[in-house]
Amino acid sequence: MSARTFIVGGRLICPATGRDEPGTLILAGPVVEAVEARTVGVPEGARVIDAAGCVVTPGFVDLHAHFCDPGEEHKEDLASGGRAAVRGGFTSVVVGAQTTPTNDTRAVTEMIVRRAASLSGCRVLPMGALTVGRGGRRLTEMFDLREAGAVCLGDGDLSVADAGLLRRALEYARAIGLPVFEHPEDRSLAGVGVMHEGVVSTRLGLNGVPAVAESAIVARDLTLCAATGARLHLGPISAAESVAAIRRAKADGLPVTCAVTAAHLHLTDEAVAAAYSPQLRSRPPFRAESDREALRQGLADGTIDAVTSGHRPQSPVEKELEFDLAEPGLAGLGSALGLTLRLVEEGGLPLMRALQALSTGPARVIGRVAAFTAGSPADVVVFDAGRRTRLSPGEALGRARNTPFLGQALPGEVRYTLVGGELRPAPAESAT
Amino acid sequence: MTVAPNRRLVLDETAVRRTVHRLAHEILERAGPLETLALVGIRTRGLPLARRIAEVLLAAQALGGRRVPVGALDIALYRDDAFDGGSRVAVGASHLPFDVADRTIVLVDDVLYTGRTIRAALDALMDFGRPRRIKLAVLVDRGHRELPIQPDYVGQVLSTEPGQSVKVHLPEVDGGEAPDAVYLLDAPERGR
Amino acid sequence: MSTQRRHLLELAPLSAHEITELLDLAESFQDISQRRIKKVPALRGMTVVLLFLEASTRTRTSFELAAKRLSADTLSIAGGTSSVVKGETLLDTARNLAAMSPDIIVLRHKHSGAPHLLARSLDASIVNAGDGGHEHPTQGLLDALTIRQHKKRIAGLKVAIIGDIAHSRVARSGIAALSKLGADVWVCGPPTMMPPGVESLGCRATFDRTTAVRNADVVMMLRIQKERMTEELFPSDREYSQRYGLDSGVLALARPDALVMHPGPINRGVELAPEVADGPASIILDQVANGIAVRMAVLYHCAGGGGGEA
Repeated sequence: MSARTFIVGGRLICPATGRDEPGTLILAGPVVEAVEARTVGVPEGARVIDAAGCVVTPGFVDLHAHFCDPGEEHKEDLASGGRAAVRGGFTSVVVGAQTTPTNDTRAVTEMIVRRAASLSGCRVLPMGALTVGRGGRRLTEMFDLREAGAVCLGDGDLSVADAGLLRRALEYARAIGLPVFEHPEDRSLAGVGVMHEGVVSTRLGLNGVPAVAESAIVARDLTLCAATGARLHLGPISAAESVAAIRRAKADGLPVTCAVTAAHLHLTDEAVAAAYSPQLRSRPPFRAESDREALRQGLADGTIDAVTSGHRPQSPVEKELEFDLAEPGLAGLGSALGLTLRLVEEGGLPLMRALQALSTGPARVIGRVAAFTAGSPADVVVFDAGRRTRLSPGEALGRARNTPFLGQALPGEVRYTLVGGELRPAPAESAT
Repeated sequence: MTVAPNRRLVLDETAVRRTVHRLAHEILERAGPLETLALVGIRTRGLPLARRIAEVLLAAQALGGRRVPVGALDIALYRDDAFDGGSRVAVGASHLPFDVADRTIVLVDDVLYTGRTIRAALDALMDFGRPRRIKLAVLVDRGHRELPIQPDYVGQVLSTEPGQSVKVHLPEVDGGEAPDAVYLLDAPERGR
Repeated sequence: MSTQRRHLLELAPLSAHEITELLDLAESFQDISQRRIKKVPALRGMTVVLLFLEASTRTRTSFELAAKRLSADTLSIAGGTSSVVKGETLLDTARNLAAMSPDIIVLRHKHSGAPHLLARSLDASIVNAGDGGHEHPTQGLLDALTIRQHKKRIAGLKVAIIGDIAHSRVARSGIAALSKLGADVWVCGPPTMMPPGVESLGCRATFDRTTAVRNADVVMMLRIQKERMTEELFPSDREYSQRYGLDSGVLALARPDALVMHPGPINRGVELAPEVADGPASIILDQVANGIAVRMAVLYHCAGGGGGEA
């Protein structure tokens, strides 16, 4: 019989079942055994985790992260990214197909899965490329990718430009049973833009990425989704028009899901105006106040299924540059929980809904289970919502430190992260 | 909170007028050929003094009804303490409506103290050309020179302490209803 | 108290009072360029680096003369290409220069916000000599000074700025300076050259040249910068010239004493007809002359002199 773990004294919140009450979570090896509302005796030999004063909830699932491995290990790798993930409460991370070489073959997927198993600490779930080399011309061997461990299919931070090819890809993916991930951005409309096109880009004299660069692709993709019946996931989204279109599509019963990064729920283009800081260059860009409000509304009403880290590490080589030349992206694993809890603190968002968007919601997108039900994976995060975490360079951020939230104290402090019933990082490791 | 410094009247309106009158006549007597004479007032308070001297010379028919030309010299760009912090000097324009070459120039200023202002004024003047000679006229000489500079025409010699300052009030520059006056203040010089 | 570093990165955040002070300062520098000895010792012993990473002969020479007339030592570094192409980042280039302790770095760069990057990272004062499509503050000041000298005022004047507003740093600085000083600024160009929310900069916008020019006191034509246009913004020079160029017929709509300005260099026959460029209304060469006085004022100000509190 496998080792049992008793997580005692905490407030158990399970968005999958709607449970929110004090109790004990009992894990049996890699799976959940039971949830007990009353105080239970801990049998001898069982491990006890004291969660007094903390929230105990299913581990978070990140749909949009990039560990840069293989290819750009100077920014992040499977080990450093995994450490940042579990310190941020993430137990499963979908890593994008934009590796070098592109994760478009069984061999690359297998290598990522194998290396991650020993290096990462969290579950690393690869996205298999939809088209060869993410080139948008030929379909990948999707059956192979699925068998090697891919949980979704997509061209990383690109959308498929050729609508005819995307249609075929969506049709073919139906047989695979995996969702197709599209990063909705029309490259010809985005042009040479580097920030949201609007009053602020006008003031700063920077080229803008109009909101239609996103919403045009969202509209096209939704049409193809309706035509093919394939499971489509759009994200990260940033524009109010996208939220509205997806809301309508969901009402029409389309099998579509979408996600937003935690940072997009807070930052707007006004932040860029402060000092042209390349830390605020992002794809999609941080948009106008009205867009941010629409994203928050979409999250609250369930139009948006998931909040992601949007983790995109960059080294100073890519960031200490002119705004136009800097690479976009921020290291988001360390701030996703804090930024989501900030929405709770600011009054708009129920805690249950916030946690759902971090765990159950994204898990469903990729056909996984995040729940405190018997037999579910023993992926758990224990955090103290009353304490704050100050973002400082180091492991909480992974190898990268490209975040505009550096130095800020965000709500929530992750105490324990368990992946498959095991503490991550392992206690000996975290002591260092 | 600062207490208003102790202030003593040194020259009143009448005394200032008399002193300017005397300076003008000394210049008339000793400055050499009047045809080549020009007055150059150092901004800001030297300029109205130079104009007043020119009025006295006109009234005295020094050039038979013609005016002695008056120029304005701004020395902000020539100071040796412009960027020392604290005091920031406003920059005004210099305006010399005559060719300085071969002229006798009488520099006019209100107070002669360390001599640094005059040093800067000499440099500034030289950049306009090569005068035949340069003389110096001041309303008040308060001593404590830091450079080997002496005035040729002095309105009033004042015995002062380094911790004191001399304040000249001229309505053309300082505005207000108050008449001409020179005060001795028990407070250090500011901005110089 | 050590004097705080002063930069001039953009005009947009300055107040009308601060802009007026700089213009007054520039005016007091004007006579220096008329003297036989065109030099004052104000910046003696200071080092001004002219870091021009985007080709611009006229702005660079204007800054260089300004610095020299203030007796500063100047070091001119020009590169037609971006420093990144040469394998060195802007920050590395600038840090190398900073190691030589310059007092002021004047930067011309093709990317917006590049001077802000230097101001964040270096100890020297940074003067923006044009950054991408953002601002060209000394151009905005010299335009304002030139108008003020000809019209004796700026408040209440109708100023029309015509051309590629979206990509123009001259337009942004001009709008900032002139609108703060009370001018009624209009911008005009085809919709593809009009950035979203341009009115928020402090102007009114129209796609119609006639509306912009009618009763204008000043017409400022912008250079069509083909090198900056990465997209298809208008069909042809011919159509642009006919609909958005300035010839004597269009100029007749403006006030009889209207002034014509252009930041140079002119595309003759495209945005500006030769008879207008060389006509009596043109004050383009006054702009060039004022450029030196304005840049002297800006360098002197950034070095810590002039104006201010005390």
